[in-house]
Parts: sequence; structure tokens; C-alpha cells
Amino acid sequence: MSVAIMDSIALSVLDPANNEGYGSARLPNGRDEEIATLIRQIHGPSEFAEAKRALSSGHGTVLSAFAERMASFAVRGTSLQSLREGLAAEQLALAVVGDYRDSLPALSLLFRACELLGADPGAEFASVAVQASPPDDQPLLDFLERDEEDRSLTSMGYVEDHDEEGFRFERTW
Amino acid sequence: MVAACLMLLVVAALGTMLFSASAPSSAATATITYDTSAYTYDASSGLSTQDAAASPRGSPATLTAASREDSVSLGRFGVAAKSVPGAADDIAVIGRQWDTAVAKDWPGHEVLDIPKWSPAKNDAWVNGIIERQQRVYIASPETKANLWDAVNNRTTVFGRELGQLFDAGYMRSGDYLLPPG
Repeated sequence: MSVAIMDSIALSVLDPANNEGYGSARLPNGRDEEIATLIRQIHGPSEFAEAKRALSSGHGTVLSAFAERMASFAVRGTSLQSLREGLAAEQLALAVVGDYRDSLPALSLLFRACELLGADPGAEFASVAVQASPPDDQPLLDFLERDEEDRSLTSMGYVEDHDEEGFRFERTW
Repeated sequence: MVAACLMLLVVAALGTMLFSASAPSSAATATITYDTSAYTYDASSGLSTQDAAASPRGSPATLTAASREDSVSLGRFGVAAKSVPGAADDIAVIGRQWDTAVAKDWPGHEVLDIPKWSPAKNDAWVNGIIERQQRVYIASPETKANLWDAVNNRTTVFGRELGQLFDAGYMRSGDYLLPPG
């Protein structure tokens, strides 16, 4: 890569101080496209590793919020591209967040979004997992091993709902 | 000075939101304190930023020798918490995951450490602590960054754990929470 993926502009886009309330903001918004642009630069383990080195736990929180939003947006717009960008963001988030428990539930949304779109969750998760090297690919692969209840929206604290714009997953706590 | 006052207001509001609304009368006199060193409010930009992660609390001084694994069944979302000792007064450890991880090997202390973790299982584990009236050690500083996810406008898992315990009437004693009664 001749240009760093996570330059100062990218880090500003993912800075939690610049994203207060982003997770529950109107969907979509301009920040979604900015983050999607960053995610699209990650094509394999080398770019993933470069991005991981540049990011901190707070950046991961923003990436995970983006992933949650893309799960809803993918269903709303029948967009596999949004789903895959959400998965890629969540994989990177889980590689950098300090407490995985605050980010991991987003995987249940992405899994459910696959089902609602008629896509194969196993194939979608696996195709994104290869963008990272072990052990960073493991959270997505491990999630596929969960039984139905352990990966359900209910156990992860979400429901399928709607806002004024359309379909949206909502957190129950 | 202004920035400091604003920061105190933010922290006070958070505490009220998290713990006071539904706290039982038995917990009404509990004093909630926060470490604020890891959170900086910039009055000129109107933004709050996280400083470097606050240092976790260390191992408590009062440890009891023990050596058995203790599995706890907790209903529909049954979980097996990792516990080194076996006394009835095992101490549960809550906090951010990176802080509680170091407590897994502390004798007499129980940490939820399961491969297929979920919020529902975490809730069930904390409810089990409450039912068994276990003492709780708080492994992480109670900074705003540790308790509140400002990006998503919701509590962190650690913040939720604390809220459950305070709602059940737990009272603070230093870095510990003690069951009511």
C-alpha cells in the first residue's frame, strides 16, 4: 500500500469523541459512507494488520456501531455489499476493542441479516474471515459454531423493529 | 475550572441515570463515586475524549486458599463460571474484560469466562450472584468510559453489571459490593 489505510483523517473519522450518538443516529448518514470507504480498502491480511496496528479500542467501538447499522441497512436495502462491509468492520472491531463483550453482539445482527436476505451466513462470514490472519479471523468462525439460541437476537439483547425510515435492529437494553 | 465543573456534571448525571432511577430504598444512601482521571472534557470543542486506559485495580489483599473448579447452573442461559475455590462466600469479580481476566487465577474469586458468552448469560450470572448473596469485587475503575458507551448511547456490559447489583440493593464497601442485609 502506498497510502496508509488509517491515516490521520481516517483516525478522526473513527474517533469516538467525534461519534457520540452515532450508533442510534438516522440511518444512513454521511459517517456511514466515510467508514465504508475505509473498510473497502481492506482486501486481505496485510491491509487488515496495518489497520489493526493503527487503531485503538475506541476506534473499535465506532467500527462495531457501524457494523450494527450496516446489518439494519443491509436488510432495509437488500444489500449484500452493506452486509459484507458490516462484517468486515466488525471483524476489525473485535481485533482492537478492549472488552469484546460490548462488540460481539453485533455478530448476531449480521448473522440474522444474512438469513433475512436469503444469504448463507456460513459463506458470508467465511468470506470475510479470510481478510484477517489467525487469530483475528476466529471470532467470525467461532460464531458460526454457536447453536441457534446462543447466536439469537434474544440472547444478544436485540429485536427486529422499524423506525420511520424502515427496518432496524434495536437493542433491548 | 469550567471544564472541571462540566465534567463533574456529566459524571454525576451518568451516576444518576445508571443507578438512582430504580434503586431500592435500601440502596438510596449508597455513595457512588467515580474515577474521572481517564476522561477529559474539552470545553472549547465541546467534545469528551478518553485518555489512556485507567490502570486496573490489583489483586485484593484478602484471598483465601482454594483449589476446585466450581460450576454454577443458572437456568435457561446456564453458565459455568470459572472459580478457583469452593467456599460459599466466593467473591465474584466484575469489570471490563481485560481487568477481570487477571482475576481468573485468584483463589476465592469467580470470573465469568465462557467461550460462547452472551449478554443473556452475563445477566444470568449476575442474577446468580444476587441470589447467592455473594460479595463482589470491582476490578475496573468506574470511569465514564468504562461505564457508558457514548457512541451507542448505552451502558457497557460492566455498567449493566453494576446497575443490576445496585438495583438489587448491593452497597459499596471500598472496592467491594456487599449484598443487602
